[in-house]
Amino acid sequence: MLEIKNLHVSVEGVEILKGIDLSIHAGEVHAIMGPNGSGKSTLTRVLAGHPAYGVTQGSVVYEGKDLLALPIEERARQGVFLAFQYPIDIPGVNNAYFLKAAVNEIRKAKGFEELDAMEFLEFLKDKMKIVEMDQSFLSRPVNEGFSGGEKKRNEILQMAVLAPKLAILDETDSGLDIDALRVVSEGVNRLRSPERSILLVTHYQRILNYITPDHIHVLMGGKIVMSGGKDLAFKLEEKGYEWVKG
Amino acid sequence: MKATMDQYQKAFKNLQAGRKTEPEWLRNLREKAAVVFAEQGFPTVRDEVWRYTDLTPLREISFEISGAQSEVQVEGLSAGVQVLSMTEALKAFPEVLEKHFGQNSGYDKDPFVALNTAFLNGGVFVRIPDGVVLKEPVRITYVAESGPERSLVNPRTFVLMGKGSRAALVEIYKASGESSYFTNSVSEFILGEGAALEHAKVQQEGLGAFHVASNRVVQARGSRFLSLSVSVGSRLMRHGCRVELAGEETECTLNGLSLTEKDQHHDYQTFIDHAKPSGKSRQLFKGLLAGNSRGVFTGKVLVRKDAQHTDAAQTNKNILLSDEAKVDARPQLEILADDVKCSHGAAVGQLAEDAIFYLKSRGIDEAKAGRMLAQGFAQDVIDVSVTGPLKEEILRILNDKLEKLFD
Repeated sequence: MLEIKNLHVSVEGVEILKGIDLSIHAGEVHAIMGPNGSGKSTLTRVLAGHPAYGVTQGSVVYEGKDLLALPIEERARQGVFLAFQYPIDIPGVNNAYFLKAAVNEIRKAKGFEELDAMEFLEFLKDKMKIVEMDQSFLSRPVNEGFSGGEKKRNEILQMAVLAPKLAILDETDSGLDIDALRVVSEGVNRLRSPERSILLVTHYQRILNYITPDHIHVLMGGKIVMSGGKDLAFKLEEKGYEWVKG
Repeated sequence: MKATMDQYQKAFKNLQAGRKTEPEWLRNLREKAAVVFAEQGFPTVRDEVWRYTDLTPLREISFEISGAQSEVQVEGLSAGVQVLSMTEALKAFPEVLEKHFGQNSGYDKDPFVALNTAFLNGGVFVRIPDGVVLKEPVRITYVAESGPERSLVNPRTFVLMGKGSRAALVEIYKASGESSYFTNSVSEFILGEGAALEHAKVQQEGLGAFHVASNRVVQARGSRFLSLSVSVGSRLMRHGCRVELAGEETECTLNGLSLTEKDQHHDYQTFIDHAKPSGKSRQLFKGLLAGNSRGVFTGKVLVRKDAQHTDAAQTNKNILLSDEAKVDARPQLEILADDVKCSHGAAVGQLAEDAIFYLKSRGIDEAKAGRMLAQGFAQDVIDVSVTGPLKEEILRILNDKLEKLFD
């Protein structure tokens, strides 16, 4: 599904990613762990198409297509989804309106009819249960005044309604208390499917207590320095990132 | 230029000659106004309050000034309200008109109000007697006819609200064509003690039009005035609003929303005169500017010595959607009382790039993302100003204009 080869990425002339190789197959969950400043968030943003990140070398092939050549919105329409570490406030735009606009763009791209307001609310009701959200979320402006936990739940709600093939979760666990972490993780687990791949980026091992990955990679200094199975997380938790370096 | 001013004088004399039936006081008022206009003419950018708005075209275009008027449609005549033409009003309540009409308009100082007063032919007179609460909004639509090219029209709205009365009133300015006409409107609102008026003005003139609006509001003790001005049309607009908080414990809210594209120029000028204690005023004006368009906001709040415990706040926010668009914002406070709460703020910025990225990452294209953010920016002004079908209508107008801004 996703094939990253020798990916080099710079921001304002500073090289952050220095040759990433990663391949993810349909249905797999990959976790990328690493200390602060290792390039984890850069990797997620470059996959989503953030304009501040320049690819200087390498390639990313998604479902046989050159992902890097696709405009941001086109990536989303073809099934790539990024759950933001810091979801953005959209003042004055209510959440339901935003979600409906996004869902309909993606339905259009897939050749489906757009949903009208009633159909959409019906569809949304079901999805809201996944992240235990109540109706009041829908009439509030997107992310504005949301608590940290509400923002992250809203990201997973978007993942649920947009049904991506590749979901990239950027530190979805950061800033969550135990209850919110449980809700968000269970939401993600319910969205796991044989057709859907998940790339989970995290600093801490704790989210992996809830979401069990198939593969774990350690990113340090802009490179993947170690890969392994789910047990790698426990070793990292025990010994710290210093152990990998040594 | 001289020739043009002479034409105004000649046209005025002709009109005045045909107004034999008008009462003496009105004929005199018109004479005085005509003199004021002749003396002042159209202001230039050397005049401080016109510094950012160049009226050269108004001086140069020879408008058709034979007394042509907009077509007027009035809807929402619920029980208790009197809506009359000028001729009817002069018959129905001559004393009231003589006492109030034009008295607070500033025709002796402002050339546009003077021009309107000298030339107006018709107008809409609304009277809401003491204690009357209107069930539905009075809706006045002025349609500048596409007929004669370059006509000058002088719509006049005069609203007199009795003690404790409550009403909503909407003024709509539109055109049936794209011709280069000139709307010079004056709207006077006189609110009796404890009266409450929710007012909205929707300016949808053709893109070739000039639109100068002079709103004058006088509020007696305990009255409330809430006004929203939405402007999407005209090539050049000046919307001036002067409010006199003439009694204690009055409340005034002026909100505005301007959307411009191409070479449009919108100039908002507000003046709130806190003359008496314990008044409250709120202003929220927002601009969305695309293309080569230009916006001006000058908001002045005067708190007189007597007006202790005044609470005044003013905000002006603008978003520039192109590199060529430009806005000048000038909030001004003049405070002569010592126990007051006053604030003002102005901001000019662009659409937030991180928000655009967020929306695009959800499959929404650039233009649509921009439209959503722009609409979100405008939303609060509408939410705090209007409700019901009028709100829906204004949202539709806004949407149509946004389509053009992001075309």
